[in-house]
Amino acid sequence: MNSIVCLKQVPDTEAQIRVKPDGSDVLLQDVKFIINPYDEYGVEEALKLKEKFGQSTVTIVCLGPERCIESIRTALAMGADKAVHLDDPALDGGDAFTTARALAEQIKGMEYDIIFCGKQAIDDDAAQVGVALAEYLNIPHANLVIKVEVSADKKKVTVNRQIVGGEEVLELPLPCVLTAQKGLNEPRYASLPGIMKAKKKEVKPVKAADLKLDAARIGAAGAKSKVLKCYSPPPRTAAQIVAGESPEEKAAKLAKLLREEAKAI
Amino acid sequence: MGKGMWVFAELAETAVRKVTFEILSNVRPIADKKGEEVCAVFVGKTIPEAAADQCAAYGAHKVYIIEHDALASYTSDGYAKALADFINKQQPSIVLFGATVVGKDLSAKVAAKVNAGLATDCTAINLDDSGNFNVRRPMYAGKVYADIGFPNAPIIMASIRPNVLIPTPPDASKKAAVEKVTPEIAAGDIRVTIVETIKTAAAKVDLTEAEIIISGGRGMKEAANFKMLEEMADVIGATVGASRAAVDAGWKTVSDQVGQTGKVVSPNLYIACGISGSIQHYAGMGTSKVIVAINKDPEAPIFTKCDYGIVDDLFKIVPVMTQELKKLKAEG
Amino acid sequence: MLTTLDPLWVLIALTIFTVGMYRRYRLWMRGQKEERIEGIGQRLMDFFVYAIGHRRILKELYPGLMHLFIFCACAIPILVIAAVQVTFSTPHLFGNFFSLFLDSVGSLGLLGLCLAAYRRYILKPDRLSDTRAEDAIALVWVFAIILLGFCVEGLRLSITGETGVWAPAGYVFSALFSGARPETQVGIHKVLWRIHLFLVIGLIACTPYTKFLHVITSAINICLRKYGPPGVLRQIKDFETAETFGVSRLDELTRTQLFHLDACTRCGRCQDNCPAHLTEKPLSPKKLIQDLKAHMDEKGRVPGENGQQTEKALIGDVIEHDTIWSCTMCLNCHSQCPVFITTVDKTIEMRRNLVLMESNFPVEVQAVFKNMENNSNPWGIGRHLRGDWAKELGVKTATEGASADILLYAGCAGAFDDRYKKVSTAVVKILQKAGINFTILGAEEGCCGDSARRIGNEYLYDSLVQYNLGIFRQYGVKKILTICPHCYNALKNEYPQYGTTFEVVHHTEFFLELIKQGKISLNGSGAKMNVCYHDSCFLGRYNELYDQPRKLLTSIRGVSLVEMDRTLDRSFCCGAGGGRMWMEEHLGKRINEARTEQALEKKPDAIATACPYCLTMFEDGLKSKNVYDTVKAMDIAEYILNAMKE
Repeated sequence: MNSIVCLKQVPDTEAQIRVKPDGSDVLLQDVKFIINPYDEYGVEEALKLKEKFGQSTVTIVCLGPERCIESIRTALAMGADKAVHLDDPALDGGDAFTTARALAEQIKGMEYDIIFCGKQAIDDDAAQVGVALAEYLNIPHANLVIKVEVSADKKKVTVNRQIVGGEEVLELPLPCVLTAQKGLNEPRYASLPGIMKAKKKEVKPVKAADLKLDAARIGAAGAKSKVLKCYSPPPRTAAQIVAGESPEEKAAKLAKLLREEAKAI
Repeated sequence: MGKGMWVFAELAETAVRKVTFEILSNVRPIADKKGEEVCAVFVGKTIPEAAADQCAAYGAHKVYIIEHDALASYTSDGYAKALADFINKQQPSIVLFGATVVGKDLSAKVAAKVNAGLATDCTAINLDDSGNFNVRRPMYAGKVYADIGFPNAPIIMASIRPNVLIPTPPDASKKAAVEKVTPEIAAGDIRVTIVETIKTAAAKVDLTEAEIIISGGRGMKEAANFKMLEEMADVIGATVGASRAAVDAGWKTVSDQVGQTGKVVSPNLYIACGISGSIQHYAGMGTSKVIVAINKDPEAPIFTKCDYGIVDDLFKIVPVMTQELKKLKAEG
Repeated sequence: MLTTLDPLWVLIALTIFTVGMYRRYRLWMRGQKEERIEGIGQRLMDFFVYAIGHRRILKELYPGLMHLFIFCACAIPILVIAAVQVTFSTPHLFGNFFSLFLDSVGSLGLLGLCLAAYRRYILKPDRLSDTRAEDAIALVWVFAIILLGFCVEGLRLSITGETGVWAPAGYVFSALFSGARPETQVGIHKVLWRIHLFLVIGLIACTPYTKFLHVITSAINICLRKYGPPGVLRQIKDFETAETFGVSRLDELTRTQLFHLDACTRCGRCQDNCPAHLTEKPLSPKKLIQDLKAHMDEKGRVPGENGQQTEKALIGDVIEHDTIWSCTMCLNCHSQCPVFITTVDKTIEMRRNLVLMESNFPVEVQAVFKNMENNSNPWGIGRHLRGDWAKELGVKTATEGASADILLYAGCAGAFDDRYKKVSTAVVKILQKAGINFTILGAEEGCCGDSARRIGNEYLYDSLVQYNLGIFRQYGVKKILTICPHCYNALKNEYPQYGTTFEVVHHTEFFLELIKQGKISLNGSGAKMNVCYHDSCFLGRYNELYDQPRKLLTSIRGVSLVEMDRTLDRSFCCGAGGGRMWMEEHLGKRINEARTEQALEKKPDAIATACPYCLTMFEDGLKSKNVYDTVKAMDIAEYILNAMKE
């Protein structure tokens, strides 16, 4: 039961994201980077499958700059066996589809039964790579997966995925791509021997040239959507205390605000 | 670049989702400027008759109805094939989706199939001064907003966040041309089998996955009072949670506990009733998009962390709010 | 009266004794090597003060005196006999007063044994609930030795017709035999004397095998105690090379740690003061030590038929997980143990094993670890916000280039917790009013790592320390003022393991000094207020700051202190130490509620603490007791600032 987990390194959920003065991009200096939390669910699920089936390899595939090695090592410390790091400036500045294309090229030559991605990365929040990867590999996918059950013969997988107002149970033939949603599992905390062992595990560096992709289809050159300008939203204002003569009036006002201003209901 | 601005029209059971109308009425002025047609595209087994007229009322010039027996339920494989084939044939300039569970899934797959540029979860669409179509979308969980352009895209796609764009009032007098399309879907095209669809009552949705959470704390005074929160939860499809104090008191179970040592949640809306908002609680819900506090103590720390607050007796506020929300829901 | 065979009996007894002691020795030596030789002179002093002098034993009057009586009745005659052997003189030469002295010692010994029996079998305090047959046998044995001693003395008086003035107890016993004929008396004397002798020889022989062992081990254990600030945990230095971390097998404990197990006499003072035990959690320090001892005995057994020793795992079988996680590391058991046995050093090693090797810890802790890793605070609030608490206060940060004599270290609670921000703000205002030149680190400050360390994640602790040391070095920090006692203890006592030399003061120490120097003057409204001060474990037992906070409070006009029954070095933990702040308390009664009740018994007008955890625990406790609106809990800094305002 060989799994591949696509992993992205992202700024910590609590990190301060500032915009460059010219608005061309965000500033990521002094930011703590972590494994994209949804990808981490994927790592955990792959490790669970390995524990269940034995005789398995869990391979991390990560596209991103040099700093990503830290997150790759974290996944290896959790128990993944090896990693491939697509680290090349030529791959930077792309969109989800150039990323998925590069990942697909890399993964094509690998042995796998199942691929895990996060349902989205918490930096660009695009939620596209997993689906596009499946399309490029010409295998099916299931999004927003919260439960995974691989059949004993390793031929198919039954998943529960989140849909509006409930869950959908799907059966997919293997290999396939599953994108992990919160609730799938609770990722483990790497043990210290795991951390030490991870330092010695194989991380294969891959350059753009190795992928044999047309230069026009990768990185910034291949991107079909581009960030034109970034803005910081207005700072969170102090709480709006809903005033009113009576509890009834306050309640009515609040309900209206939630609906019309906050658009939360 | 092709012509035509399409909107994937999404159905919830048999009714057209509101987001479809929001997109239709907002893309119409853009299409008018560019001199293109706005088309609503339905995909399914049988599309209700009234759906096309509704779309027309919100600005669609044309309604495509792609119908096939294999499209009775949504599958990525089936819907994406049907839609992508038709896009390849018609070559629209823009295809827009609602950023719903279906819309996000379908848009990503179709975009990959037809080599489109795609922006997810957009909160604004517009034309820049040179007539290029742009969108605005939040990134980094809303810490940054970005304007996105599509300089190299043969087809532009975007999914639009529901409840953000304001729909124009519908004009029932408008009619649209309806064209039925029969897609080619072969036996092996849909590789995924739907085994079962489980409808979960909102109350059963796990706290960590809930979109709206109403939590009660020490101020709830006793277990029976949580019924009040459950009633409100039923109205707005929320899950009921609790602070540690309420769990300690035995009013709710440990699995309902939100906070540092309980569940860490980040719903779109978090309503804290009778919760003072200690840092231990905040650590479990601080990333919620909108935080509402109802507490009679104006000094409670929760009021420094919330977006909306009511300083009053929750036992007076909550029942009235439930009624008000019911009314708003009824208005649709 | 000795026969030629007697030296043989003594020799046999000594052989049995030696074999027994050697077997114990072999068990202890299964442990890891450990250097503990510093301060020979001090150790000798300790022997006289704590072993002979009973200093800690006498902290509790009844059991203290009881033990002292028995101790003297055993030790002094042995010394006398030894002296006789050396000087070849008979006791007569010591004079009549000495005879009277010995007589009294023996009588008190009997009294002590009666007190002990009364306590163990009639009073039956909870901490002696594990009474075994051995305990009765030991009591009867020693009682018999002393009793027979008196009988022999009485007979001697009766036979020789000496006056009983200098041996009143012996004289009483002589009455027992006065009816018998002189020859009979001589005969009885001979028999009783021999029984007395054999009981003594037998006692020597069985010492290593029974609770009498404590006479030797407890005394030695006192001399083996660790010096320096108590509660400092062993540093792990070899993350890169070590194969295992913490302790999962008995022989991974050190020799001294194994020796501890034999030094325990099951007196139970530890569990009588253990916040976990007293709130029905599955942890009693005594049981922990005794379970380890039983395991050591099992491990020491000669392999059975299949050549296998016990299959029990140290963690899980011998010591339950819940036992390991229940400890608040309050150090009360350390403070109360008369013979300096420690438990936290063992608990932490088991936690380390669970955390570092197995990633096995209460689920809620994982988020804490990750939050500390990513944002250097347990709540996971963005680290860039760490300096925001002081933004409105006009405090210069080191980042802005401000230099000052003192660095105010806010700590995670002082920086992020809305409630405790009021305390850190109060500290700043007091310092400003006193004209102190100080700076803060703002967003550059990091978590001190205390909780990470005490939960057992030394690796995370190490990384937090390394970060802080870098910052301290960058700004040339020489003196740090802390608000939280946990930061205080870590920076003051544990960071020196990394070679730090900066001075660390707690705000209660510092403010008292400012008052003495006249830099701040307290007025207070003078309104009468009974304030109940709760000792934070990390200020009190960890750092012996008992007086400073109290003096600060009483220097406020109108404030009088009320003390809880469990106070000073017996202070009851709030429940949040040892990383418990970040774990759910699923078992037993809540410790903070128990402590709040103890305070409320004294009907105080307000409660004072000097620790963010204690404050949180008390406020929660007051809320659940529904007195939050009438009894306020505040940090001492808040009391001081209020008194300065008026």
